[in-house]
Amino acid sequence: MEILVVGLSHKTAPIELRERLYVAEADLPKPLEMLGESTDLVERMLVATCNRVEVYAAADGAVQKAVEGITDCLATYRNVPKADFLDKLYTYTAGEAVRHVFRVASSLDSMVVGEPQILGQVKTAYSIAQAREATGMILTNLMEQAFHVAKRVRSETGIATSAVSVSSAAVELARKIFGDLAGRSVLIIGAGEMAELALRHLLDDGVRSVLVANRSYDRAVALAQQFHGRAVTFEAFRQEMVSADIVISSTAAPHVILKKEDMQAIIQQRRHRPIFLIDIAHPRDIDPACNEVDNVYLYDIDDLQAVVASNLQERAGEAERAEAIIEREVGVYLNWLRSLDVVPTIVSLRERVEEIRDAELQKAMGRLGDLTPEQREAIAAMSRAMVNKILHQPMTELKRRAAHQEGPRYTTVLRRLFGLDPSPDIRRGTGASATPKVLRIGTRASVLALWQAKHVAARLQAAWPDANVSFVAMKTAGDKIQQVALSQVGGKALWVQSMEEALLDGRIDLIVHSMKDVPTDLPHGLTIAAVTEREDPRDVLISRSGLTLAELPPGAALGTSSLRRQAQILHRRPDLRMVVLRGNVHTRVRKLDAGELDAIIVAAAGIKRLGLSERITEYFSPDVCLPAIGQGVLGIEIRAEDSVTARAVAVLDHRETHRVILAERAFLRRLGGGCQVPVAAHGQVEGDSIRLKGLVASLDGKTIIEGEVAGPMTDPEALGASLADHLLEHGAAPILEELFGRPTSGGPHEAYD
Amino acid sequence: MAIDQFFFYLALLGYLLGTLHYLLHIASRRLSIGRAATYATLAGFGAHTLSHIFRIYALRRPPLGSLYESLSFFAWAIVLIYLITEFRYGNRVIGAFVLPMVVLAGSAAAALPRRIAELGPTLQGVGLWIHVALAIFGNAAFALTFCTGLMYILQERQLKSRHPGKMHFRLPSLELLDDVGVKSLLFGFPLLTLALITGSIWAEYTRGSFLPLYGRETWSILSWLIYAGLLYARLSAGWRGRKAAILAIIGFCLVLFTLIGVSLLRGGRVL
Repeated sequence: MEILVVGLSHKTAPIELRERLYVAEADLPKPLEMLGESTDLVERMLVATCNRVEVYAAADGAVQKAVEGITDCLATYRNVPKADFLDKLYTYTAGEAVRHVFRVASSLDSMVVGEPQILGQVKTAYSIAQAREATGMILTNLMEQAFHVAKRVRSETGIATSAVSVSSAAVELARKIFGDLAGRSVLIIGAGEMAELALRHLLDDGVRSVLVANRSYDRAVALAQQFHGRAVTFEAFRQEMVSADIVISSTAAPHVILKKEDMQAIIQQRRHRPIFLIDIAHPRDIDPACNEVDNVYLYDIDDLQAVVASNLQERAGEAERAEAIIEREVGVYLNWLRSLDVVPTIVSLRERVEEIRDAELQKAMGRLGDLTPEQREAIAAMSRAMVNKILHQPMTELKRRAAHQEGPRYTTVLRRLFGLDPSPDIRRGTGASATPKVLRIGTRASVLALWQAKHVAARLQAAWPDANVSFVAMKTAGDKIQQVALSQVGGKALWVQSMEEALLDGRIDLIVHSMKDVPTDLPHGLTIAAVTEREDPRDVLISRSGLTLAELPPGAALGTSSLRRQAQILHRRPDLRMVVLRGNVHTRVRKLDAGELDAIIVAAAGIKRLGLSERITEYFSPDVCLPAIGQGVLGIEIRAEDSVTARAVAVLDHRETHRVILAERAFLRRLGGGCQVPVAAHGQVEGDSIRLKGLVASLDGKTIIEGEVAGPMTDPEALGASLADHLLEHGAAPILEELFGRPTSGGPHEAYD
Repeated sequence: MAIDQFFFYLALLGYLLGTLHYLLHIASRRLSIGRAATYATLAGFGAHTLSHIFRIYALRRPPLGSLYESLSFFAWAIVLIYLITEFRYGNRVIGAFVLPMVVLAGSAAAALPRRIAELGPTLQGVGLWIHVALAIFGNAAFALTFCTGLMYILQERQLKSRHPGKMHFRLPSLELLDDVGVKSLLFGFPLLTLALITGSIWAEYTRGSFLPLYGRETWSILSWLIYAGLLYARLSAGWRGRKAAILAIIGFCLVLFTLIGVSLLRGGRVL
């Protein structure tokens, strides 16, 4: 996957050309859509301002082709012949592209370096692309990093501190004379656009009283009214200067109206209190010699413009420091990008070792017989410590290597040494005729989803070495969502819908899902063919201060995306403040780190996969927070009649987990299928039977109806339904009726996270 | 090395680090560096205070008997007054001007002989110590007046030139500088006045002459007159800004001469 920037800016193209290619903010979705249709770009966004038109994209495959697609698209959309702008176009890839995006967001590439608007424009462009699901993991991370860099540049350099417009320069000078402008008074002599602009700026900064003098008293009154000021006669302006602190003069007088002698007299009467004179008239109103009087500071329009010019120069100096910051950040980002490739390996390594630890621990516990809980805990702790110590060195080394080119080699070796890829024995007994040749995996382009897909792909490839396993990261069809709010498309996430369409159309062969995202009712013709072994199904608490749930202070802000977690946590801690949290795991952790929240609750599996397990403060046992239906399990959805793929993915299926999932989903289906309800269920295999726990909670967590059943593994669906019936009879029905404002079915039962 | 010496050098190190960080803070505008400057100065001040305490304990008298001691005390008083100003105004740029002066005073003190002077019987007594402490505190306040005056003149020149440069952005507003200038003057002047009065009484008492017309006393009275004039001009004639700043600078030069110059001319004797 390649990060790509294609565009032109004030640096390469004249204003006429930029105007011809300009896209207004409201029109951005259209060309974005065209880009999606006519190019192979996996992710894309379009930044268009009067100074630049740029496409940021993640492309799979030939860069040249992607660039051509983008240019064609720009040319067609604005109906500008390609030849007119082709030589003005720049193309950046990899590190250069990252650098360019950082520089643009930090306003280093702007015409007026340091101007603040560009960051907002890029943010808007990003959210427009995001709303149309044109962005995925790569651009999301790139842009979030770019915004972070922009913030750093702004706070650590003086790039945006000095005024670069005449009126703001005037305000800044006034501040250097008077300090705080609150309570100061300003006198306007004459009128004019520039004078009003400066006045507005001063008022924004706290100036309180406004006096207006004009040769036409009516005009003075009108202007004074506009600014809640007081009009005075033109003849009186010299007297008024005795009390005013700032004077803006802008009359059409053909000669000076204030001489040095006048000023000397005035400053005497002012008892030498400083006065700031701004003369923006042409020809000038105030004799330049007035500046020689002590405590008088006179600036005319040329002076102010000179200040602006030198401020711009000052900014250029600061820009160099900003460039250094950006250079460092680009390095950090590229390293991160490379290190991403090793995350799945790190996770599987940890899983493998944990598996061994768990099994050995169970065996040892069985042999040791009666132990106190403390002794058990001590043994478990020892085994955990050993695992952590053994893994620490290879993991750090791998992460370090990952940042360099040799990363992939290390992962291959490690996978082989620890046998992290499943053995090919599974293939035994399958007829050659049924061997899959092509396995196209559809996935959502988020970090987690991509990881899951990669994980599944690796296992499939290992089991079927001759098959051509490939990914199709879904670009969700933007055209279907334009009239409908995102959350309401059939109660189903758009990407699920569009992937299922692709599956039915035969464009892909399988979809990798987080089981908890999969609606209870599948479209006709599709089936869940395989379910992977359950990973850690628990929810975890990550708190900023390291406090556990019980220790969090009353009123602490807790972020979560799911009603299920919210209700269960409120049940224990009704004093906490729940905040709805959206976005991917990285975004959530960042929000926590930014101090917006005291703690967040997320799924353990996701956190571990992203290599963030050291951030976990507390694991919730199912007694505290019962997991979502299907939590920690991947499901493989295929076409029901596709027996070849069914056979291929059978290697992934974990029989016991599959049974448990059937039970959990039957429970959910009986309760009404889905919609956003605080419902939870978790099943475990015990010998030949399944023990299933489930609950329905009210939104505020005050009421929780829970129950538990056990039954044979042979009929899991009956088991799930019976538990649902049990809960409905014992008080769950009124809760659900209250929650089901609208009857829905088949929707997702947990927010996608 | 005596323990008070150790802490004195530690204080000097703190002030030196403070100076560096205040200057870096101005150059880089980074808040973290500014904070570091304040912490370094605070640490230096703490060490300096300890140094005084140990010396008082060793001498069984206030550490104001030699030029070294009074210079050290002078530096200490400046830091105290400056830190109060920084906390009240929340501005660290002044520190970049004050702290170098502190380091200078401290280093000058360090270069002077530090043996404990045997003071004659006439040079003892509570009255004398009060006189010296008052004079030093008053002069320390004037050091701040001097620094803000200097900064005022720099900033005013920037503004008057109509082409304000880098310095302009970093210096505080004229209003703030003038305000600190007048407040430090109002604080220092009564102290200096009292110092002169106690000094005269002490002179009358020990030497029998009320108005010594030679040496340091003359210079002291001269600088007192300048500050009196400055205060009068500010309060009654509405003097402010540049002229007031210039006068504050001249006044402080006289103070420095009185404190150091005269002593050196007389071979290092303070009293």
